[in-house]
Amino acid sequence: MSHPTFDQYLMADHRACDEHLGALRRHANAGDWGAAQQAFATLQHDLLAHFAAEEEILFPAFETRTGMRNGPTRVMRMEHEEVRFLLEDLTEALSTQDAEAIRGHGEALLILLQQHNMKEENILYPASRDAVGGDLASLSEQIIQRREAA
Amino acid sequence: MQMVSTEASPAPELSFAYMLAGVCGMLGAAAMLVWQPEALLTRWHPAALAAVHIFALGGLMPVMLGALLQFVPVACGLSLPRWGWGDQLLLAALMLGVATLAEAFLSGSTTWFLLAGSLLLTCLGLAGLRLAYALWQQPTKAELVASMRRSTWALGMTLTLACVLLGILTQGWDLPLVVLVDWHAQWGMAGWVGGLVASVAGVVVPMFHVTDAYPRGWTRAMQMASLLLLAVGVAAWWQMGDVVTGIRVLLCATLAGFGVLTALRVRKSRRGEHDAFHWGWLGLAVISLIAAGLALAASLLADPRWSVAFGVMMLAGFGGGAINVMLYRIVPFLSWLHWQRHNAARARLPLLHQIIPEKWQRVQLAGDALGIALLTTASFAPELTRPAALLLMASKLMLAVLLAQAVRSYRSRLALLKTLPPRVRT
Repeated sequence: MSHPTFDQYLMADHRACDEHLGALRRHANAGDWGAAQQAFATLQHDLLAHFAAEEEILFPAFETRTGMRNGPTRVMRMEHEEVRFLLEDLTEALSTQDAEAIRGHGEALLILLQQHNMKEENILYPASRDAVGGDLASLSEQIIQRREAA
Repeated sequence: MQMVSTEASPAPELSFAYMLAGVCGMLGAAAMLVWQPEALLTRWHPAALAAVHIFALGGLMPVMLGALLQFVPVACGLSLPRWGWGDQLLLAALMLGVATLAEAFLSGSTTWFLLAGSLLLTCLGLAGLRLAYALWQQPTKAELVASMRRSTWALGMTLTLACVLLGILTQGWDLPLVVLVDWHAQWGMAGWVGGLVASVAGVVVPMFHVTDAYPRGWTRAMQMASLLLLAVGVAAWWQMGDVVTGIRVLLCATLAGFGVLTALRVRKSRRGEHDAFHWGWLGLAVISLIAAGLALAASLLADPRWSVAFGVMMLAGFGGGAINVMLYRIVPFLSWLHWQRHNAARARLPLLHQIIPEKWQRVQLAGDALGIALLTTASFAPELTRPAALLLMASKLMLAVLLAQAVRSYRSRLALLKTLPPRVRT
């Protein structure tokens, strides 16, 4: 079986994170705080590992090949930072078992992630594939390794 | 390589202005029916034509244009070119053109038609060209962009047909008026509004409700629908009655398919919330199914009241409903996002569902649904038109107030956040 390319892999990772966020909200609404905590821990770990793989491998590869350092990757990094702030807010809401705050921060995180993912999937990933050309397989391997090493 | 900016969302003030103007336009259309409730007796009544155009061009259109200012950069990575004061001027000219067109229908005056036509065709032509510029610049293969391009073609067809109809009404061109009016309405409602709602739903439903994607077959059905719209017009022109009916049945099936696929997805949403957004999208799926049933009845039965009922359900229910539900996500999220981007102090911000209180969203959506159901029924029971229109007016007024409060809160909080010193990380 052939290995997935980085865009296929990262897009599947986006969907998996959506599922973890949904699980967090369902458990918090049901008052099952143990399960909510577990869902959040998985979500936080996976999101941060995903960002690390992009920021350390994919974005530099794109920037080197296109010479664009203040283009799409700058905006993507800024949006990653916004997500990190929301993860802090969710950590605080979970520590006080505040279901209302989890609803609000969870919905903000969902919309922020979706519009961010849409930009990556429709624009940045295809542009990166074009830019790396024949290095696609090795770049994909590095990205997947970094994501799974975290 | 045509490279993208993937820029952060543009400041939302302009989009908010377009959205508020659009809600006021929908309110104005309902007021027209309160004033002239006999409008629903026939689709050719001057007040019916005025109300339809106020709702479509003064209601749906500004909200769609305002939302696209935010959505296009996310979808295809290129911002729509900004025109500074020209954007405000475009909105003012659009709303003035709508008022002028309403007066033209009510008075039958050629002068008013020419004035309205000049204003509206200029505004919408410019808006359409700007949208086309952004959509065709980016060589993306994403289905969302492809379907938005099809919708933009449909807008172009609608406007071209509007030009022809203007020629018939003001210059006496010898062309089949009824066929061309049907064609104009089909391209406007099914091609532009329906196409754009379905395109956006193809992204919004799976992503924002956390559901499976729409099946690949649905993409092909959407592509086919554009060809069907073209074919139904040609068949009607050549008076091929059975072919017209057959194609219309296929178009009804496409609409029903959208309703079923959307309902199945939203019902199995893994988002973990059953809030106004959830029920609103489920309601939109049901509206699509009812509209498809009414369209089928209108195609197969001789009674013209089915056409009126379908028109009400499609315009106020499908178009108005989709916009209503999306406004409750767009306005709070844009407010929150831009607060967050100026929140160097890391001050506590209102939660998303508190920016427009969810309790009032539910009340307004329920009132709107009841108003639409009553207005559709009024096609067969004219005595219901005025109470139905009053209810719709009340729900749109409530929406306008909720949005205006949210916009005011956005401005005041943003000003405050800009004055706060940044939090120093320790």
